[in-house]
Amino acid sequence: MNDEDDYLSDKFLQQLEAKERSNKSYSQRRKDAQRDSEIRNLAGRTKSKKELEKEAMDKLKEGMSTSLFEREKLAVAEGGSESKAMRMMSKMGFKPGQALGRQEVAVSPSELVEGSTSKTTSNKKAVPISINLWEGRKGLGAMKRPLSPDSVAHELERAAKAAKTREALSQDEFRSRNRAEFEEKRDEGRLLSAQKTCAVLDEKAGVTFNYLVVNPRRAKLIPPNLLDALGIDPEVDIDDTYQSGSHRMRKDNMERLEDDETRLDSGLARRLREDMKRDALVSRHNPGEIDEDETLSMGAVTRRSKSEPEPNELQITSELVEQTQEFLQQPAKVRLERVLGYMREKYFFCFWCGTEYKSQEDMNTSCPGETEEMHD
Amino acid sequence: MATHPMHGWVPRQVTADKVTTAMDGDINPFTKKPLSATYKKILEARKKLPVYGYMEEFYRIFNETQITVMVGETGSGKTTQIPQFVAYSDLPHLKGKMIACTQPRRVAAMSVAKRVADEMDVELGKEVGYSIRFEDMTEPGTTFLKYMTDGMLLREAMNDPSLARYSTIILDEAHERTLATDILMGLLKDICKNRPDLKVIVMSATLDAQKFQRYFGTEKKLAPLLKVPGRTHPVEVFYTQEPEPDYVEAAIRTVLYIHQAEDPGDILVFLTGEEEIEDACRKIKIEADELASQDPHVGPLMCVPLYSSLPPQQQQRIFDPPPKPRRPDGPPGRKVVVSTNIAETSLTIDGIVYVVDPGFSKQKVYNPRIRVESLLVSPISKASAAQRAGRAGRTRPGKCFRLYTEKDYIKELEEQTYPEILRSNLANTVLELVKLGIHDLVRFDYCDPPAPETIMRALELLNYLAALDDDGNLTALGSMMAEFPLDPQMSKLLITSPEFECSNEILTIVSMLSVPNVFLRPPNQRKEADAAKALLSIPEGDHLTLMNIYNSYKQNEHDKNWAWNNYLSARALMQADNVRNQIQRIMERLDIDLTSRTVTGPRFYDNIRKTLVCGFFMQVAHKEGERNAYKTVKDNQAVSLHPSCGLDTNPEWVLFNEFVLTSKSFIRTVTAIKPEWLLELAGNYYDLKQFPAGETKSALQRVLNKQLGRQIQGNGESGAPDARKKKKQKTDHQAQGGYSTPPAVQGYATPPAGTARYSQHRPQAS
Repeated sequence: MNDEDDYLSDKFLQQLEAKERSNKSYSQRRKDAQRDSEIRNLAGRTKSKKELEKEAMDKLKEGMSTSLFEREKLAVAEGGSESKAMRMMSKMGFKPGQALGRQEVAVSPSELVEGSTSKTTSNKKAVPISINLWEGRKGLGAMKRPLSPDSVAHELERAAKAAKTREALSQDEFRSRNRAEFEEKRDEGRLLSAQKTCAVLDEKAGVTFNYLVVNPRRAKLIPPNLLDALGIDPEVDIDDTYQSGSHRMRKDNMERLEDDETRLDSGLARRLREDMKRDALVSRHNPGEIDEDETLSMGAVTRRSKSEPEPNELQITSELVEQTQEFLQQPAKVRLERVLGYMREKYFFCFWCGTEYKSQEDMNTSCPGETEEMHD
Repeated sequence: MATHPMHGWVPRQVTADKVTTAMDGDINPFTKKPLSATYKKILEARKKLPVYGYMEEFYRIFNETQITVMVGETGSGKTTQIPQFVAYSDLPHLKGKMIACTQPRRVAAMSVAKRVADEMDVELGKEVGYSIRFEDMTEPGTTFLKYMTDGMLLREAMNDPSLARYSTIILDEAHERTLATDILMGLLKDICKNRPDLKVIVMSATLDAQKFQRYFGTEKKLAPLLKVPGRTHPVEVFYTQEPEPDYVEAAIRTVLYIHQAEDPGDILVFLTGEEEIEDACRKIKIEADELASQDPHVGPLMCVPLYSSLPPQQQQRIFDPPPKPRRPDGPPGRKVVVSTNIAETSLTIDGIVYVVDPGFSKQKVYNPRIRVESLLVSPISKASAAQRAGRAGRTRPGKCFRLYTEKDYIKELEEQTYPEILRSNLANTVLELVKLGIHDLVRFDYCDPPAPETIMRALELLNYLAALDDDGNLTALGSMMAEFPLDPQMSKLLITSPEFECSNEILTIVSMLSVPNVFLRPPNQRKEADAAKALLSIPEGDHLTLMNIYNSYKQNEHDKNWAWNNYLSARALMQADNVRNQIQRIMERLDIDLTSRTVTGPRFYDNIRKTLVCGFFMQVAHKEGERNAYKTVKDNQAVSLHPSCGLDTNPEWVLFNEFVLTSKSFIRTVTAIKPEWLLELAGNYYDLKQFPAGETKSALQRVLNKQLGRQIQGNGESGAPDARKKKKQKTDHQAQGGYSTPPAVQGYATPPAGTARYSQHRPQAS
């Protein structure tokens, strides 16, 4: 009942609609993720007085507009039982929606009396009279008219209906969304370790760069020029545990760029990065330029800081960028499949067995299959 | 020797001539004593009352019909004269019967009875008496005319369902539509069918008599109406052109305008509450003084506040004459009374010529959905507006300034003020009705039927308190509870208290809760008042603080200044003492032991708090999040402790006496409790299987789990299956990820609610 304030509620999860996810570009999704985490932080911190007051007021209004009979109905619909009070009411012959009191006679005597209708009003109420919420010292007519009991009843019906569907929907969606989120997280974790393995295997095989090991969570391991071309903020490096082990890979895969950078003072490094970003921007916003100068040589960048060009430079082609981008836009599950497929094909390595087989044949006989379930 | 003035009279065939002759005689027909000179003097004044001229018409209708509706505006004399007219016709003193005249307010019942005793030249409390809650000023066998609060008559009906001791019942001020009057109307309508000898007069001050005529009439014929005009003068009504952005400012401006531009005559301003009234008075005073100093044509102005919590001697100031001109032949002074709506009907202030009506009043409205009582400013009704305007025409033609547009008057204002039955918590009323033998609360002939949800909430409470069984029948406990003129939670406390050996203490707390606020907080001495209160506070709870205050008051009874020095209302404390005596008498009558633990200490307080849980377990809030952020149990409404609350910490669980909505949601009069008590003493209500999910449920579940763990450790020998269950429970908990609560543990029997136990071995009320 209370989870409206909870960050697991649909309010926040709505922004993570699985459907939208695949259609958005990576950077768009990143922005979404950022906004999402901001919202999470917001939910986590203590709320301001104003927010709390608003929340309380909303809850109050909701409480006052939800009929007890609706609540009973809902409780029964959810498999609970009617309250004893409700049973007592029913026993006296009450049906929800009715007003109390003597049954009306067909012709009320008031109609026999001249002008009586203007002076008297029927006060038969099926719902409690509404409470005017605090409006300060505004004069009569300067404030919103409080809901009349009839419109309250109407409103109520509508609200109750909406709440019901919302609840049913949210219960279903909550579970599936929760599951999806869990799976996504699990896949991300597996992807990361698969990529680590892949990088080691690549290294052994002498592959200098493989876009399949690119992971924004390990942005520091991505060649900066590619990084910028992809629009990823390199400061984000979630996988701290990987730091130490990554060192060698950096050297080899990243063409010692990082080494160069560590030798430079940080101010220079920043400027360098800024330059690179600018270059990358130009290349993205002006596709024509890429046509002219098809390759963005790593050397062109490094030359500014280092006169001596590196022998084994990584050539960042627009094709590579596209490939990487396309890869990154896939959900973690797909990316994982692709990495695993690559390893099976190239190195006869099964992630689930954790074994590098000698040959395709060896793998076919010893490995139960491609998927995780087959390894159960 | 003169013949008896009533010789040969036949009851209810008396004519106005005979009555007038008897009144003018020398012998009091009711006491057979000679009439005094004072009587004669008063009689001359009585003859000038409008209602006196309608005596003949009155008898014509009264003698013919069973139920009469009468309309007479304030000042027509109906409250004092009609009951006397009835006495001359019923001759109750000869038949051992009585005439009852109900009043919505205690003070009115007392003061009118005094006045009528004087008019009839008898002693108050003998032939003419009054009966109000906690005070009975009648003499059985002698009293034949009894003024009483409507609530008292209702209570009498519980033990005398046909009201056999009365020959005529007069419901006065019926237009106020108090809860008790409404219920009485329904009852009397029913009783009249079986008692043709009983006569009923419904008296109302406003012209909405048709509602009563129709209610008490048959399908084809309205009940007869006697209409007595009041002594009123025409009142000219003015509206504003535009809605006012701030009605208080507008009211002040209007007063100052009247003071400068209008002829002499006092002003009555209607505002909504104490604070607003004091604020307005201060501002008017400042502005008026400045005006007077600048303009020699502006006279002096006196501003008097009026609201119910004002001490009586200060209330009297409204009757002071307006200030004298500053110099002879200077501009005359003017009196301004700034009042709540108590000046609307109940008080008459002479000399009022101008009325300023912003169109608001503070109204108490109960909402059964979240069980809150709001005290919010709301628009008045057209009937109320008419009543207010009428106040300007008491002495001479007057003017009424309405601070709203005519369009809004037509469009925004309801015809009638909502009767109390639509605005109140009906727990007590439902208990009374059931005790009266009304079992069909759905088809009871209400004048205005209350919201079904309000009745359902009342049934819910009474069922959980074990006053009603699951079929809605009154239990022995419920019957006993109905004997107390108190809310059912409170009577439950009193009946339960001997179990916890603290009935004296609970009696004190209940008495203190039944009187107006005892704490004084003068605007200029707030700090001192708060410090004095802190000295008397008990950190565990306001209920205990109230008890402590009463005890200290009793210990210092010899010291007349004690209350004053401690910023406490001596009047309220005296009243509490009186109420305590009355309730104690009821307890003694019902054979409820008055016990106390001899040792004091934490256990002593714990027992009192446990008893409180037995009555107020449905009024509990749980702390969630912030320091002073609580949620009411089950309804999950965000509330804070009221600033008046004396707890020095913010305990996780609190029990409260009131949940009120003013500018914010507050709980008032709060005591810290332990969740274990809720589970132990109110297991029915705190049955977690039926509990709405949320933090409160989780918290209770943790307590329950802890208890369960302890219980398992306790019976180690039954080891294996229990241990498994415990393990299962634990894994359940983990599987749920801690977000939702695990289902209530099966097989753990919650102890029965205290209620069920007590109802069994308590002596039954007779």
